[in-house]
Parts: sequence; C-alpha cells; structure tokens
Amino acid sequence: MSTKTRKILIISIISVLVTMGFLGYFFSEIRAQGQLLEEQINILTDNNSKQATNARVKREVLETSSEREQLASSFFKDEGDSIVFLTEIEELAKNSGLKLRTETLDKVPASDTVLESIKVVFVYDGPKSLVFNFSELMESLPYHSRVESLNLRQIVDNNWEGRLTVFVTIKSS
Amino acid sequence: MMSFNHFKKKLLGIFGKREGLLFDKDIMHPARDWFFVIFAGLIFLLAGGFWSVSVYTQFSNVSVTEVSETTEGGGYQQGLVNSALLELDQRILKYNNLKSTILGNKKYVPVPEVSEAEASEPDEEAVEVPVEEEVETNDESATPATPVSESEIVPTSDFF
Repeated sequence: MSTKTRKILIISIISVLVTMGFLGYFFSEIRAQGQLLEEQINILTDNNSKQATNARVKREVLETSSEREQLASSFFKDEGDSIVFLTEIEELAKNSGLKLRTETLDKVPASDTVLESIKVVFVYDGPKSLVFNFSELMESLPYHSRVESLNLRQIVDNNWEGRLTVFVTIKSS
Repeated sequence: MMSFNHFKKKLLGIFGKREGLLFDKDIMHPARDWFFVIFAGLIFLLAGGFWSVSVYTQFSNVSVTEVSETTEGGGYQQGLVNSALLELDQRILKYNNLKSTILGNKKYVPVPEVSEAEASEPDEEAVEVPVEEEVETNDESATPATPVSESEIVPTSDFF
C-alpha cells in the first residue's frame, strides 16, 4: 500500500467518522427538541383546560350568586342572629296574645352528623288554636331548622301550653 | 483434465504473492467500493427520510386547542339547589300565612306540600302532637294587635 493510498484511506475514515458524529448529534438533538415540544404542548393543553375551567367556574359563580345568597339567608350567620330571632318571636307572641318565655338558648357545637346550631326552647300558653298555630309556625321557620320536640298539654278548658325545642343551623359565610 | 499442479498454480495465483500487479485488489477495488458506498449511502438516505417523515407526521397535527374539562359537572348541583329553594319558598309562604293567621289578619290557607322538596331535604322531625291545619280567624283569643303586611317579609337574616 502506497503512502498516498494510506492517506486517502485515513482521510476517508476520518470523514466518515465526522459525518457519523454530526448525524448522531443531529439525531439526538431532533429527538430532544421533539420531547421538549411534547412537554410544552402538554403544559399548554393543561393550561388551556385550567383556563376554561376557571372561566366556567367564574360564570357559574356569577350566575348562581342570587340563589346562593337566598340559600345562605336561611342560616344564622352568627349567634347575633339568634337575638334578632328571639326578639321577633317574642314580639310576635306578645302581639298575638300568647304568653311566651324562652327557657333555653344554647349554642350546640358541630359534630360528625350535625352542624353547629342554636338550640332554643320556648314555653308558651294561650288559647288552643293560637298555641297550635304558633307551634306550626315554629315548624315552618324560614330557616334551616328542625323541631326536636313539641309537647302540648291542656291546662284548663281552652287554655293550652306548648313546649317546643327548635334547632336553627349556624353557617358562617 | 485439470491436474493437481494446475489447481496449485491457480490457488497460488489467488492467495500467493501479488508480484507484478499494478495494485492490490484486496485493499482497493473501485467497482466494489463504489457499490458499497453508494448502497450504504442509499440505506442511510432512506432511513433518514423515513425517520424525518415519521417525525413530521408526529408533530404536524399537534393541536393545543383541545380542551378537556375534567371537572365538568362535579361542582354545583343545580337540582339540589332548586329543590332547597323550592322548600324554602314554601316554608316562607307557610310562615307568612301562619303569622297573618296568628295576628288575625286573614284565614290560614294551608300550603300544598311538594314531595320533591320533602324528599330532598327532610329536616323536620315528627312532633309528638299533630297540629291543626286550619283555624278559624275569628277566634276570640286570636287578638289582632299589630297587623303585619306580607310585603315586609323578606327571606334574609333579618327576616323577622
């Protein structure tokens, strides 16, 4: 093998190696860029999804604000509401001719099954129809409430006494 | 007929010393080398083209406009809210009627019950004594002391 042939052979081998190196580099670079593009597309898709969800939630919040406020109004916001409640009930009983006294006013802490609430025990007496109507009115309070117990007994002829325990739920907004 | 010496001479011609030749065909064979290089290049070209096309098709149809709302329908329960609002409205109406009755304004009209609202939120327990549903308004004991109009009843925390 002549010197010239050896030189050509060596130059050819070097050229092939350099070309292969460049091709390998380009190949790996394209793969890396492809993976990066896929990740960016995934992030962009997630972002778009979150934006759409956010817009939908905002729209839902705006559209339902009135009915949510109406629902929220059926709860005591704090213990102060119970004072207003008592005052109005006592005023109502007084104006209607019932003798009413508030026997108990307690705050019942929340448990696993029951929300925090105000427990009120009313004892009232008066004419039968009035006592019965008042009892039914207490069952129909426009609050998230429940009547736990109601005892009615006749005192004298048309005079009845009622003892009613009612729970009104507190839900701070 | 070929003799042993003839074979030996041929083999020596192949594997023996190449004295007298212009170049060694084992090291450099123009036709073979050209064919090999062109064939290998063609293979590389086809493989590269195939790979380029596959990469192009993989990323040419990429779209980021697709939106998947995974939380659709998981939040606000409109049916439950409507049911609760319906029951609340009925309680308000019943309350106002009873209040007017108690204060002697008008005869109490029972509110028709709606089974849907009852089924969704039964928050009242049964009482020990059933209450009359209709009462005469001219009861002597029902004193109309302070008439209250229905317009002042609003379902807020200051409801009463």
